[in-house]
Amino acid sequence: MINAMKENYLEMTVNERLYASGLIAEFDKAKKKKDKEALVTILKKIQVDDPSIKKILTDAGITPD
Amino acid sequence: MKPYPGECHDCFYSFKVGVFVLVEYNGAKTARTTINLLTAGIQLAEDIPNYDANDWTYAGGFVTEKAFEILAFKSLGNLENIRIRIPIYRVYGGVSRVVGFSWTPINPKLFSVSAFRRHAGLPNLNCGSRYIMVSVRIKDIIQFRSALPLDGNPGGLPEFIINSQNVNYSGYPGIFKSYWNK
Repeated sequence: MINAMKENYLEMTVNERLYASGLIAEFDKAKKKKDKEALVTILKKIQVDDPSIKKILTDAGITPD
Repeated sequence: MKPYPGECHDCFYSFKVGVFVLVEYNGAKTARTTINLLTAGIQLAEDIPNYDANDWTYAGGFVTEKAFEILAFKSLGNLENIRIRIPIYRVYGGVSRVVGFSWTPINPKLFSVSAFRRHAGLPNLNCGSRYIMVSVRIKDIIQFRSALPLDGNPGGLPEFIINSQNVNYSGYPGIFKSYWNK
């Protein structure tokens, strides 16, 4: 089930992946708290590429490494 | 290089002003107040310089207008009683299927294929060769978000999270149209 979902992630947008994975509330909470570590962990779980993770962090007002 | 809607500061300034006003006055909870504010917000969007001359700015204004529309409906409260349906779109193709949680109120035809893919933050595996236009009840919109960056596409367009089971496919026979290749 999890493997099937992971494969499906690749056809989805980031918001779609967040919702399908059930991580959307956690993501919003981490974004509000500017919790970089939590955001990166969540985004990696849903297979977002590194440059996009950096952009999402920047847009959230967090300085990526 | 032309700015894309996410970079149209005038559009987003008016959007932010409108959101602020709607939120500030939401305490009144009257439809008339909300509609007046919606009208004022759309007017702000339409006052953007070169609104007719620049298609990107037009798209940005359209985004703003749709956002106000949704915010106004949302702020009316009692969504259970609102049966209004609005058109929504989903661009798909490649391995991306016609069903999914990601939809947008923006007509993809305002953009070229590549521009839409960029601003909608579509994944590499969604080639965006097709689209579908259906309708959904306001109350069935789970979330209203901004498209996030993915696979080199910056995102920025409004994105609705909707369960496909709540989408009305039946009223649109022949919906699986070829998109830009029509």
